[in-house]
Amino acid sequence: MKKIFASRASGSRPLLAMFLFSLMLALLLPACGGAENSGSNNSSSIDFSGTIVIWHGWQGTYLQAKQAIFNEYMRLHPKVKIVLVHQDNIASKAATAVKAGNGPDIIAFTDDNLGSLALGHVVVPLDQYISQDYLNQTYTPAAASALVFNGHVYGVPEAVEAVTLMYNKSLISADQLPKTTDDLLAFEKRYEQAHPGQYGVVWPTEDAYFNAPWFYGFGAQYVTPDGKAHLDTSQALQAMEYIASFRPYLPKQPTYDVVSSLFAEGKAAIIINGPWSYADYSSGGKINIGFATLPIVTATGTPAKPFVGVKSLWMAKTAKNPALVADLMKFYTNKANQITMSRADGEIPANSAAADDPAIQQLPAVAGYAAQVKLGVALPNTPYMSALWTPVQNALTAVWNGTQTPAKALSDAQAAATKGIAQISS
Amino acid sequence: MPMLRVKRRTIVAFLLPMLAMMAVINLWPILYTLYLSTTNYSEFTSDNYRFIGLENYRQLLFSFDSDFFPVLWQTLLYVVVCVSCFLVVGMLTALALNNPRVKGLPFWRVVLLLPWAAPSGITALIWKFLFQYDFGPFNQIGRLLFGPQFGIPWLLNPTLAFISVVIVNVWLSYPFFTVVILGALQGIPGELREAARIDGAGPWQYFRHVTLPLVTPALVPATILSAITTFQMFNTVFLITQGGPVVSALKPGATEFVMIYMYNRILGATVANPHYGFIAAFAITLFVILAALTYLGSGLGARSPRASSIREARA
Repeated sequence: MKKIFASRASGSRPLLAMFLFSLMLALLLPACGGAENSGSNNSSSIDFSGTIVIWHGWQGTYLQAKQAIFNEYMRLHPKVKIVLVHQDNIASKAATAVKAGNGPDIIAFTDDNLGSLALGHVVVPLDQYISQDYLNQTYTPAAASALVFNGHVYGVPEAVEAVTLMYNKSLISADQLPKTTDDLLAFEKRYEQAHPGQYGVVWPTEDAYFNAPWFYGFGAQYVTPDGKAHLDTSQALQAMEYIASFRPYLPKQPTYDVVSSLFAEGKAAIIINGPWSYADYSSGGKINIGFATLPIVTATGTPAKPFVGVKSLWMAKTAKNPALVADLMKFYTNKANQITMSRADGEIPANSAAADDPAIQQLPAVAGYAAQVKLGVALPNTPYMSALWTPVQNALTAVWNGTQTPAKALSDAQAAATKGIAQISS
Repeated sequence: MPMLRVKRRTIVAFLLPMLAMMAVINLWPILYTLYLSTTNYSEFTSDNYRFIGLENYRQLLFSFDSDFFPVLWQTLLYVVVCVSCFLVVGMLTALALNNPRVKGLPFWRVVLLLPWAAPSGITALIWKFLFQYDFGPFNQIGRLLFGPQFGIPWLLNPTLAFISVVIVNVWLSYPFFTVVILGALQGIPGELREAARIDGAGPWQYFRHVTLPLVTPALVPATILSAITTFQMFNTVFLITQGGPVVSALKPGATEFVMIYMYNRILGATVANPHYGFIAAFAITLFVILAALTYLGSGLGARSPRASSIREARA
């Protein structure tokens, strides 16, 4: 309403427009200022001018929802221009660009890249503007911890995500959902016998991220923060054998695209997937989706633990105005904006006040993923993690293709990961 | 006619901008790569890297767990298999089109050139779908004919995956050879065929002793060039297999050719610490190998110029 008024006025009567605009600012400022410093307060020490370039991987509704918040900021500070640039392979591109001095001001990516970017001096600490206390008070615990590396704060979290069980309500009912890992395997067999050519549960079985719930649920872990790979443990072997036990029932090439299409076409009752996929399945009322947490691992009695990815905004070394960057980060992730974003694109807010807000709690998708996030483990932000993705994926592929036994695949992956870790620390 | 006399200095002055350009654009990067290959420059050591001599080369060529030789071997195998297929298929299609009974030659030439002109990235993705095990058309058709258990693991079995990427590359590239050979065939004078027939040569003898020697000079440069492009093959194969299928985390995939290997293991998105020094050593080594192969290849071509082929044909 206010926006329409102001823009119409600005054409004919500049003075009135300016008056209305300052009135609007005056109205807005108390809302976002207040006791907690949530960004874009009228601090005189910040120079509110210049261009802020953000490199990101957002698409579709995500991008629209986020663009709206940045537009709002530009409206508050007319001298600030925010440019969103979509990039693939953000981490490696940013590394090259920042070294050449052509990097962005802010890099938006998942937290597992923080360690290597920080060690490569691609992103720099923001402790001066955002304290660890501020992180802990403002954001949910997993999200806050993901932004700290070697004792320094590198930015803010915007959303968390984890894979969970999503089921097609027109194919199965809630009471048919498998509760344990043994149930899940039995369900897969039963469902396929009853519905030939269809699948009970699908997920990309050759992907290290999608299979983390099993490894961590069986008590294994990929890597420790001090840089030791843990793929040759008996727990990891149990997890790998469990995954391999699905081989007879799932597609031979279960890539993400394949399993996602199976679920979208109603040929799979359950998929293990994350928040990014929800809109694709549910839009237009195609599939009535229900949520459940991943099953409890029968052998250990603990729930399967997915990786909780924390989508973060870090300040690049090439940032021209750190104070402004920090202010924008705080504004972008304040309670009001996080609620707006979450309602628009269905992401799970990292801001704890926003996550606890009833308006967010009643969104079924957000509540579904949020329940799973509580059971997950934070996606490690140690740089050593990047030496694990390929070996784990190769081991999963070799086992799934039947070229290696689980034990041999894991010991090879352990050797490959150790070699990769040595390359990082040398 | 009076000679135009120009001072040496003037010549140098006029050449200087071009020479400077070449130094900046060609020479400097080559020298810089050479320098990088002797350092331990990596993502994390970019601020304090140092000279380490030939250590990168030692690791690449002589360390026991180096993948260099297996990768090089399978790349060379790929080059040899692909290029021989190009030659055979190209020759067969060209001979068929050269038959005077074929009508509408320009039409066929366009049809044949289409795969070559299509963007390889898109055709690669189409082929990837065709080869897909569970839902790909090849296996679906197979299941209709041979029952639901049928399934060829096109991209899952190392040997079959290798054959698959050979098929795709041949499909993409043979038209180029068809056109080159067809051009050479149409340049063969008709009298030679008549003379051969009078001398009592059969079709095979005619092909072996007349056609082949006359077509060879046109084939040599095309063969060398496509051997080099095949050696450096990246996009087509990467889009189909990503270098897989992986048989172990410690070994390169069956279609992980040099460029794909380089990308996957030292430059790719999931690589922890891109080691630019090592990549530079890899690039320099590859350059040396390619240069040597090209030299050998062109040497072979120079020994059979047109004159000697005709002599051979007459013999």
